[in-house]
Amino acid sequence: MKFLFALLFTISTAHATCELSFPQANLCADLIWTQGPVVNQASALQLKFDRAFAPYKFKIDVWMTSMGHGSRPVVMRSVNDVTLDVSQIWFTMRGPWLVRGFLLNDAGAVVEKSETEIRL
Amino acid sequence: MRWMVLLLLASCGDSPLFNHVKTPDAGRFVRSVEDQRFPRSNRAFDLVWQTGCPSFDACSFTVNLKDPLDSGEELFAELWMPSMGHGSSPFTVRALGPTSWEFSDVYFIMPGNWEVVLKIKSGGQAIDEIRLDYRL
Repeated sequence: MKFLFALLFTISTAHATCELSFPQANLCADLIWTQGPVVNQASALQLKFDRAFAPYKFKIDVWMTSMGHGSRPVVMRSVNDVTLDVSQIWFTMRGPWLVRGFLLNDAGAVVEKSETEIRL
Repeated sequence: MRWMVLLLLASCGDSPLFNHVKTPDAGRFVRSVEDQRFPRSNRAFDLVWQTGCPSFDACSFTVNLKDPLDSGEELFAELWMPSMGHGSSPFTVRALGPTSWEFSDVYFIMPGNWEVVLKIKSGGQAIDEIRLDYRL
């Protein structure tokens, strides 16, 4: 019985710790910063999904809600079917930023969005 | 103490080195400016944006100086948004010749008033500077 509760708890909280969570697609991704995050220098991260995100496509950007602007497009490189390298992330000023992830369909339309805040 | 106060007062206000010159067409996006001059060295230059700019996608522009830079000098450019107190990501610079440079990967990340800041640097220090206004 204890094992069952532990298993249920693990399943129910597994995605709660995700930095980017896509419940409709049952996908979860964590951000592993490999450079930064820093202001006015290039930052980089590795995005690790809990399973392959295909058939979806994936897009990521950074956004500063308080100022109403983003930054230049990031550069994405697929490492394998669960890992993406994201580089050329430029935070152009101090303050709260959102890292936003988008799942896209074949036509390029956003089917699900998730975001996580970082403060610089 | 008196000297300290004088020193602090002297550091206020605009830099006497950089008389920040605005373009005559401030408030518009002028795709091509000719015979602009750096205020201190009086060096003349043209700046031309690529076709399709302004845009929120990657833009580029070229700067042509009328005369070559002196030895040890370099041309530097950046975007600045004075009302918001931030810039954008650094440009990619390519020398097209002894008096000509292309600046690409220029991203206007939001609408509003932007400045293209051109600096002549020597030994890593700005020795002359001009700011050109662009409105998106």
